[in-house]
Amino acid sequence: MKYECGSCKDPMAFQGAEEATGGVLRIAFRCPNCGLQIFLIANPQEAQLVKSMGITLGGREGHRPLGLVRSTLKGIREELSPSRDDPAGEDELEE
Amino acid sequence: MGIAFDVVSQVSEQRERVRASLSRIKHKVAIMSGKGGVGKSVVTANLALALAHKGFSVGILDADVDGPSIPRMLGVGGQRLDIEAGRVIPPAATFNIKVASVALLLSDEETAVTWEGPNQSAFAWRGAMEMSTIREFLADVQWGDRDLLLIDLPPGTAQLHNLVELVPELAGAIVVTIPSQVAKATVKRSIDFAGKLGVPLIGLVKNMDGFLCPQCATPIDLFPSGDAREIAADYGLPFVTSVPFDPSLASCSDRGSPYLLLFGDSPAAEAFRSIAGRIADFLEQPPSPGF
Repeated sequence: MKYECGSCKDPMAFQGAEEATGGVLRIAFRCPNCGLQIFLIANPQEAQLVKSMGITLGGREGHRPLGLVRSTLKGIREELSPSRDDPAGEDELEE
Repeated sequence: MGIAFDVVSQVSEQRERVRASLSRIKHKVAIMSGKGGVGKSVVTANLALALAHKGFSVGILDADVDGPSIPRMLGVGGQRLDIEAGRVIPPAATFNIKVASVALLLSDEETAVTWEGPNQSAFAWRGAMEMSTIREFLADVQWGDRDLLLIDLPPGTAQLHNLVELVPELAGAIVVTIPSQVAKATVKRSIDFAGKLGVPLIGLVKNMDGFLCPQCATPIDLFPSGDAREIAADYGLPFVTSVPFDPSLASCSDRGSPYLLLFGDSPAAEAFRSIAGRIADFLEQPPSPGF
């Protein structure tokens, strides 16, 4: 899914996403041609649903093993917390 | 230029990770029942031991995300999943059975499985989170080369549907029931649903089928009625065996001791070997169309 600039008919570029208060997600897009900027506001439930599907806003990030489970499960063992991950541990798809 | 929601390509990449991870496992078999409390996990754990004893290399995915119990039953409850070089290393139980479960991530056994997220309308996303959990376990655990992966499903039918989406090459499912009328109706629904999904049913197992008197070995019924053979016949699937209730089986499960090794001559151990035999035969001889 993407947005199109109403004036230029160009696809708008994803600029970034930030979590506002109360879990509301604010996602910014900008037209690369005319600079028009729009913001998509997702409520906490919508934002969580997308996250729960393992979808990353703005496209792919490096893969972390059990990344979604470890970042979302409450009461996880401290040593398995994603904050302990070595960035070099991220892998690519392998056969 | 980044794309905000390249959902299709991300989902397709997720599926590819699952496919690649499972490509080294020859057969995937689900253990299911529409009803809770029929002893599915006990059957799964002991079936894994029987299959491994028979020479199969086995893994178990505890797909009961909300009520994981497999690690304790196989004696690896105190262990944890290790993360090395971008892969999740599962602990190995007796006979090198690899075990993956949410329980191995939690700080202690009594911690409930709950997720960070908004409490309001949590029903809207909790199901997606459970499916993602199963997907990540399938994709990220280093199962290695295995003959068999047993997938212990939670009660109900929803996760079977999700599993078929994630593992279209699922070889089949074993259905577990108990001899009661309530279980009969519920299990019939799950058999019907599996048929609609096109999941081959390997056979029906009647668990907790009577209790043998420790003094004289006379069978005593634990439930008033419910004939699993009738269910099997109604749906044209093989009735595999009855597993009698055995207090030693319950205590071995609690302790994480391998019942099959400690009580190998018992009727229940014989029943687990017979289920393993049925699976082995089934995998050697795929079902005919329409089975």
